[in-house]
Amino acid sequence: MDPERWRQVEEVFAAALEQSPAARAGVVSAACGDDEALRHEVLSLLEAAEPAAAYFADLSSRAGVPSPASTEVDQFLGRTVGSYRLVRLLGRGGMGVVFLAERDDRQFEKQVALKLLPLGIGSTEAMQRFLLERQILARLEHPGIARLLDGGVTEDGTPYYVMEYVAGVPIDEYSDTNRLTVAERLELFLKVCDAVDHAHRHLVVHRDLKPNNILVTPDGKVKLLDFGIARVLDRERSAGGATFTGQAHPMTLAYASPEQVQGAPITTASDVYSLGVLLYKLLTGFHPYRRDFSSPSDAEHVICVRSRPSRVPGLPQPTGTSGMP
Amino acid sequence: MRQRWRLRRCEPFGRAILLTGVETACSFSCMASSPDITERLRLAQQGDRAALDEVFALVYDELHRLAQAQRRRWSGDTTLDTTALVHEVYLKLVDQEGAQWNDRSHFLAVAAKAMRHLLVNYAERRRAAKRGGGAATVSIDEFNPVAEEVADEVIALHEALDRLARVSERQVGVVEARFYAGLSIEETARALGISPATVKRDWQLASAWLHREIQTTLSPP
Repeated sequence: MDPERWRQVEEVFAAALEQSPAARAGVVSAACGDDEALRHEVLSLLEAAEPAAAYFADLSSRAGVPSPASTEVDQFLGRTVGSYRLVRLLGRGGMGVVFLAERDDRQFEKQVALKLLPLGIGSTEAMQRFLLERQILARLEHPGIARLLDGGVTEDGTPYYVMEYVAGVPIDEYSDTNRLTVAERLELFLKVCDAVDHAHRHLVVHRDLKPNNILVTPDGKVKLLDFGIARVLDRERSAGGATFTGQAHPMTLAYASPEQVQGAPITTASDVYSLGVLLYKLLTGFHPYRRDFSSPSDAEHVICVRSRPSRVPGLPQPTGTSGMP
Repeated sequence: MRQRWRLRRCEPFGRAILLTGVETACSFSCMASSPDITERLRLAQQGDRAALDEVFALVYDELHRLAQAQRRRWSGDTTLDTTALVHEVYLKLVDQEGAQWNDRSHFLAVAAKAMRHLLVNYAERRRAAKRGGGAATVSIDEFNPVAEEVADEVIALHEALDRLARVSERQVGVVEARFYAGLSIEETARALGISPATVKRDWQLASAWLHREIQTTLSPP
């Protein structure tokens, strides 16, 4: 390649980046005229930009030289990502950092939740999960699930996506502070079931259903959040389900199903189990296990052996042989 | 009296760098913080190639030495904090009292390049060790953050950067500062004397191009 040619590539590439993703191809075509090779080269590079960002984040950690500077969260505050300005940190974890953000162009006075995977966090798995969560959210469209609004890559190559911001409180807290009756609690719980059902119909298992991920807005709307460790059942890799459920992922044991704790293959039934734990908590005010776990093996014992509902003292025992195990 | 630098042949700005040993690298530590390097840095900035190569060799050796020391301090860890390293090397080598603001920026750009070569050196040692030859001089307990599986990629990236240098030295500088030294966009802009907006654009274009090149190298069509 000669430098002169590269200048042309640079120029068209830069012009295209200033446009929204949808408008880029048009800008490139207009800028290249009948130079088909140039058009092809720039489009190929634009297409490579997002996987390249993921690749370099991954490579730096695999090569043993993760870049700590780029994982610092503070540097993001006040910055503009896409057309959003980052206002404050909402949460962070291995699966990314979530900011409260506002439309920068003041076209809409809209607050959103913007999730970033800073370069440097990016192990292969974290990056794959991040992109997978984006795909999962894109396929779900339900009033009970926080919606995906936008997504892309920042100028320095950090992938991000934008979700509906839910100003709500966890479902158990909402029920208690508003002193909801049993009937009202059940009504709320059914809305949660509706949203989970929608996800399951799209072959998405949430895998981390717990009050902190189920918010209720001041007007009583339920919103499921955080599909960060969700998975899609129809992906070919789900065949190796057991490896996918490995101990490393940060699921919350208090609401986890026995198969999750044991690392066995996951189905939609895992979510149903978590919903059962949630319902117990909503109706009784107590967690079914009634205590914290001292270790992962303690959790496994409590969840899989000791706390079989049939053995919990004070609960009516099932009659006959068709009852619960 | 002016100190004499003990330099090995090392031409990072032309040909591939020769392997340097830990033992010899340590001999530099006693000369650390000499005012001379600031002077050389300024000569280098004015286009003095020999001065630049000398600064580079010093920085390279110090990086290598500190990388090994960092490893000892955090034994058990298998990663290098490259950003901390390049800043540490600066504090070590440059006389803080005589230094000016842009000395530091320029130094970081050189240090980023040195970090790139250090990493390639580790990758080449891995590859050599795998093939069973050439690495006889490397002690077995030397810290090498580059795992065997990544060695080919690190080398492919290095070679792709050499090809990129034929069309844009500036973009190579951006990748070195961002990827190898973990400098922020602003630090990179200062180190290279360009605007932050240019850094962002260069990084996006260069990383896309490099990624494509590496893929072609590793799995030819």
